[in-house]
Amino acid sequence: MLMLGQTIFNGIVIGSLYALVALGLVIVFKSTNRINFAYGQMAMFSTFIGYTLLAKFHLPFMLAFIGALVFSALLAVLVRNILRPAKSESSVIVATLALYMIFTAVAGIIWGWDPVSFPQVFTGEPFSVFGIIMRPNDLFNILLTVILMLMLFLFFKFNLNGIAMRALSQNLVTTSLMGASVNKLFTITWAISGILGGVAGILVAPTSFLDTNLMAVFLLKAFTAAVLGGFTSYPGVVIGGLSLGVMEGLVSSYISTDLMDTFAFVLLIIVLLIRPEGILGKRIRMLGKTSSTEESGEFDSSRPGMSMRKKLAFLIVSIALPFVFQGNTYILYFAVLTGIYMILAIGLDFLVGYTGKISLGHAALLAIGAYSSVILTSKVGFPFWLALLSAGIITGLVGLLLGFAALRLSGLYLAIVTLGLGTAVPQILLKWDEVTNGYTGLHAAIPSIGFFIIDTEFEMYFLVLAIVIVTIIVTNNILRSKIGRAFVALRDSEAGAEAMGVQLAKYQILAFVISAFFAGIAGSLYAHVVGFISPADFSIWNSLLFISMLFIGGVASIPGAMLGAAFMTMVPIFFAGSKSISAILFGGALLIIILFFPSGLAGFYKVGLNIGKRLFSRNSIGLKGPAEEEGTNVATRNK
Amino acid sequence: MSLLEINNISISFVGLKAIDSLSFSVDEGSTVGLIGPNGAGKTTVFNCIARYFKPDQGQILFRGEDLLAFKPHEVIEKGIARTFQNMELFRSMTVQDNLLVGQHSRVNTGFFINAFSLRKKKINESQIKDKAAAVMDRFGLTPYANSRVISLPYGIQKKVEFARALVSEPKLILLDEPAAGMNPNETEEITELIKQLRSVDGITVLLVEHDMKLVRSICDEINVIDFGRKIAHGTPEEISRNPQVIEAYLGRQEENEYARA
Repeated sequence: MLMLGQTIFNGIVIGSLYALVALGLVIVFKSTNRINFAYGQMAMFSTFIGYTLLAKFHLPFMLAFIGALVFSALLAVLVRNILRPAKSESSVIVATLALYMIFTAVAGIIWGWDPVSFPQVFTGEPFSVFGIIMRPNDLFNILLTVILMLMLFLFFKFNLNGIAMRALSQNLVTTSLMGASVNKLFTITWAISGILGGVAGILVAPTSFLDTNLMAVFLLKAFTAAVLGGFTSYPGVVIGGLSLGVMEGLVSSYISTDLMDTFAFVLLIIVLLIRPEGILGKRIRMLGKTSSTEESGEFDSSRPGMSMRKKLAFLIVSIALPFVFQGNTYILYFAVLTGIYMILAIGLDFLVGYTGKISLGHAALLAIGAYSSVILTSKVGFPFWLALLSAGIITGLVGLLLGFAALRLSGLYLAIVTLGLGTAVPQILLKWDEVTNGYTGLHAAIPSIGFFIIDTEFEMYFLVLAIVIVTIIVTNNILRSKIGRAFVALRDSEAGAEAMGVQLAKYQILAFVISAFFAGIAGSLYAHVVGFISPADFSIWNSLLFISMLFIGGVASIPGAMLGAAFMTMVPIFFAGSKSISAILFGGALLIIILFFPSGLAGFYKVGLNIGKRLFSRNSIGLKGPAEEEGTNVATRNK
Repeated sequence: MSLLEINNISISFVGLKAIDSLSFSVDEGSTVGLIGPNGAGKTTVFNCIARYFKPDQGQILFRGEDLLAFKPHEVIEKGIARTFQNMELFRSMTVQDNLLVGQHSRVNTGFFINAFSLRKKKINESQIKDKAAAVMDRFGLTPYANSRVISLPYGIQKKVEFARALVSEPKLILLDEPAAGMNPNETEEITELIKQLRSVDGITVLLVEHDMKLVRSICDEINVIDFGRKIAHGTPEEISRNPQVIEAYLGRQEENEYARA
């Protein structure tokens, strides 16, 4: 009984922090319809500012606390302004992911990657109430959370700005017609959200250590709390946070501590499948369903493909490359990795580009492919080629399950669930060490086909090249058939597609299966090429890199996916050793591209080509006369 | 025998009765109009036939078969194609591709046939492209075949949606305000195209439209609904003289006087 009381008390302490972060997310979501995946990293950053004020400038705690909160509010307003050009929901999601990368990397550069310890607000002796041990700091957490919630409640109820903000969440145009300054209200909303995050960060930091990952898992839990309470109701979100904290405590004391972190993810899935509107929420309008303003990649199933000459050039270059760099295993190794990521990115594009479904957890699928392949070769004794195929099929089956779950989720919810998958799978791999060998990881067998052993980078290059080519051909065939058209039709208009006889469920699930299959193949190749895998290879960070590949390269375009993969693999070479610089570069590139150049690098190429053409034809008008100009036009059209 | 038979269907949304014990039928080969003031429930009837909504009660028979047993994507296989009031085109695709998706239910190639581009796929693709080309030619859409729908003017988009419904070779076409927002020239073109559905293809048409001139010129019979109930049925001449219909559109005499006072 005593233990139960203690567990519940501890649960409420941690749950009130979940509630704070969840409230910060929901306030912004309700008034601006934007979801901020960088929220956790912003809180982490503000906490570091607080840490600097404390440790470097030796300010008293309260001053440092307030300083950090002011910074946090300003940072949130800055983020709000950065996100302003974003047009669609998916571009907001991706832009906040870019900010996630940038904040993490900048914090890493300033404060280093090693954890530091952060002091508690109150360091008094713990005391006991009815046998439950409480520390003054715990009570401070709960008290502060309650005060903040009360203040928010009063603000929304009685302050004119608060009332206007409630009106705003109902109807933006009418509220602005009533004379409320939308801009000012949005700024206030984001500032409040920033303060809540800052408070949570400073309260969370003493419970563990302060490092760049402080809020990563926390954010997922806040999402769970928000979903649990219903994304739209403030009291619901608070109840969601508290009950998540208590339930987690119960699971870890009575079932297993190992399950604690994955519990949130499992709960998230269950809630979304059974009661997506949460405890107190109303059914929110499903994000992503109405794609009227969405920028989507153009599609033409009968566009002439690459000319024979280009195909040949591509083939010659890719075959010649390893001979040129035969002695340089370093470059060959990265070329092989690039090929593997190309397969993954093309697969991911089936979802993100062609079907319009987001996946923020593709590293989890890569991991499933990699581990299945290694286990099948080393423990079951499968030959490499069979393990490769099986890895694809096993991961494809996982994709099937994900596809079924995704039928009921769209936009925001799908993003949260896949983010959850991406967070949960590496943790499961860590904990399930009889099979996966935990932290230590697994060695992968050297790939061989028949008697031919593939053990040099030079040979691996050709193995991967062959699979990349098959991937491109198959993808092209699928996209240029009724299947590809059905994907894009569903993306553009679900109602229209269904009226034309496209089975929504079948094609949506098929897109997940194809995407997962390619991820599995890529995972298997990754494992056998690198020779060693551990959970750290498949963290949520990698999932973010994969989604960045697509958007940087250009969505809904095979060359786009390939360019993106090449960019993301090759750039770190030039900044060898500096994870931070390349992360800032990726994050920055991603942010600029998502906000201003929706068609990515592949789009740059097209724009460049057009400018080139125009210059060329203008020259020909002046120099050669109209007849020849027509000739050049025909020539360019035939290309 | 009637091709489509609506028997006593009702549907309510949060307490509001959108359709109230509505019955009417559409004879094979005829062109039937469904008219009524805004909010009368015309589009809801379409959505029930297209299986987006399930009526709370009643029956919808198509060629004697219970339509309510099928899913939305199966309706077109039965031979019913539709257009939407607010257009549900595939905006990022070309006009040709829109018409190819329109034939989705007519292509039965499996996944691997498509993935490896086997002979059967190529034959199928060229067949549906020919069909799409024929319909585009008839609708004057050939110059736009390779343009993205989103880049085309509204009037052309409307025609693309009409063409997309026709290309599936349906027995019955449901047209939801095909002339809405069109200028007189475009409306005339659309009128001609609808007339051709009967004279050239022998397709039955159920039409929702506010343009009374269009409705009168092409419909054999008209059903008028208001507040989800059928208030009149008859030939265009009968309907234009029906006092109840005039009342539904213009309001009752006393009410108007009351409002003026």
